[in-house]
Amino acid sequence: MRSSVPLVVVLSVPLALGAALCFGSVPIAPAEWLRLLSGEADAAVVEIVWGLRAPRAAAAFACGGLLALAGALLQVLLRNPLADPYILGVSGGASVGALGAMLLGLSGWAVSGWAFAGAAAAAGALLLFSLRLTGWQVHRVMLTGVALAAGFAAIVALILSIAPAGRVHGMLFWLMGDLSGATRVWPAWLALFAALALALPLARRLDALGLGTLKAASLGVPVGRTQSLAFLAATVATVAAVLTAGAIGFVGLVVPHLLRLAGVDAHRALLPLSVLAGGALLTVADTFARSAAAPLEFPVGAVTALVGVPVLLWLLARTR
Amino acid sequence: MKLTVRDLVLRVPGRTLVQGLSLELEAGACCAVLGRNGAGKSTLLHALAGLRPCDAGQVLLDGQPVHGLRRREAAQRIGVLLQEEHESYWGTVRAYVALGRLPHAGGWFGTDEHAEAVEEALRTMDLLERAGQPYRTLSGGERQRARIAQLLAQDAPVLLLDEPLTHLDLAHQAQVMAHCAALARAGRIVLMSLHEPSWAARYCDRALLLYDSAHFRHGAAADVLTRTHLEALYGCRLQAIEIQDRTLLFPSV
Repeated sequence: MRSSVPLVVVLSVPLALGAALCFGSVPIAPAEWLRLLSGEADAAVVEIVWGLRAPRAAAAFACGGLLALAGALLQVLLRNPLADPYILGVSGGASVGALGAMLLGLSGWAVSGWAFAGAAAAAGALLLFSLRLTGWQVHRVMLTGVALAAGFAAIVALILSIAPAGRVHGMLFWLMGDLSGATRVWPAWLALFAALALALPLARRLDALGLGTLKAASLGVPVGRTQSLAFLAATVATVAAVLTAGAIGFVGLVVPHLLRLAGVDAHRALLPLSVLAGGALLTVADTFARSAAAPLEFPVGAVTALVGVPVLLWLLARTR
Repeated sequence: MKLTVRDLVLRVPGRTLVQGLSLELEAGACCAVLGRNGAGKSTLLHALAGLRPCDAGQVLLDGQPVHGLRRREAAQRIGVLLQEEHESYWGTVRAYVALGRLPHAGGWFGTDEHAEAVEEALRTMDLLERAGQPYRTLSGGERQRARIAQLLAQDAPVLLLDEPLTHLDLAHQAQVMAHCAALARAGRIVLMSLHEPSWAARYCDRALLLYDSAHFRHGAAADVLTRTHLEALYGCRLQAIEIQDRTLLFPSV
């Protein structure tokens, strides 16, 4: 690992959060900033910066961190570089729950509750089918997850086709990932710390697990327990991110790869740096999404892809 | 230290590989396992390491059932060189070899990447120059040396090696065999599957032949590795070449 990589990632965090406070649909003059810092600013400015932008930045950062952490864990668990937080169908279950609630005209907490129920049902089905019945064989877990995800995608398509036109817009934003409704920030942060606390002690074992289960076992890793804990951490992270902001794509798939291509391989570095880099990336993407064409908002999922794709292609092209 | 196998039965779907195997290896033993492809050499090694269950019988290390040990305890006492490995390691050669220290790592993170055992293992396998390179840039033979180095870094008193000479050049084959024999002389138990009877005859003091019929023959290498026994084992005619009171056996074509 080049020693500059962790430094760059850590420095990007305050820059991203700072940008999220500075930019938005209402421009704030430098003089206003000085007054804000000395506590003499307009109530409206204070409300915009601390009441609107700060919680949203905090939500974006937590979601990005959660998604990148889940991606890093699933990529090593499934030994598949294409694994992302949505591969196992847990978010598909959440989507079905959320859209079902919207179809019935529910909103706010009810949508989140239904989404959580959907995610829990999907995770339960995955555990039942792949762990109980097949004893955690990697390709079977993944096939089960892909099958569940395909089933949920079909139900989502059905719901979209029968939903009244007025509700479809909200549903599409939910599906693409949207942070505008993310006002309650603490559940995501709680989940982030819980998932990190679960996953970080497994870091060395995950290094060995990347070489295969038999090899890991020969190096003294309790394979079943490690896989279960890592899967639990990934599921908690995915569900928390999806409940906060819907299914934002790309962050979970690409952030761990960006770090690996930059030379970060050991999981004790990869996991925390993924959280920081994923958080910073999503914060910047969300800031751009809401301020570039204000008062219009782009779906943040589209922005993460637009930012991430060129960076990944560039890194792929220059590393061997 | 003593590795005891009692009435071991190993089955794979449709076939019995090992039927009623009993043997005892004391500290200092260097034992070769020979057999045709699919005879059960790898399966036996996995069972001895506790990596797969026995279908009957027991494996005991100092009287303690290996299958009752916790994974980490087992890995501290028994090191295995696997024949196949999932090849997607992103780190350096040194970090790869340091994974061998995992069973000994104390804390959550266990960062003794520069431990003396790691450097020593890299030196023994001639990998010091490659230590800082990404593992995936190594050639097939160098990867095999890195795997052996990882096993050496694990520093277990019992070493089980599944075809350790795969992909190695002639000089490194000799080096690995000599090093394994030296480890055995220093008081460890070494058991390795081999395809080359002359290496077994030269460096091992015990030999175990696994026949396709699930029967076996075990004893002192000099008694077991004879032309008659090996012709029966491999099911092909062998030709003996005498060189400096050594007998080399080759298939006669």
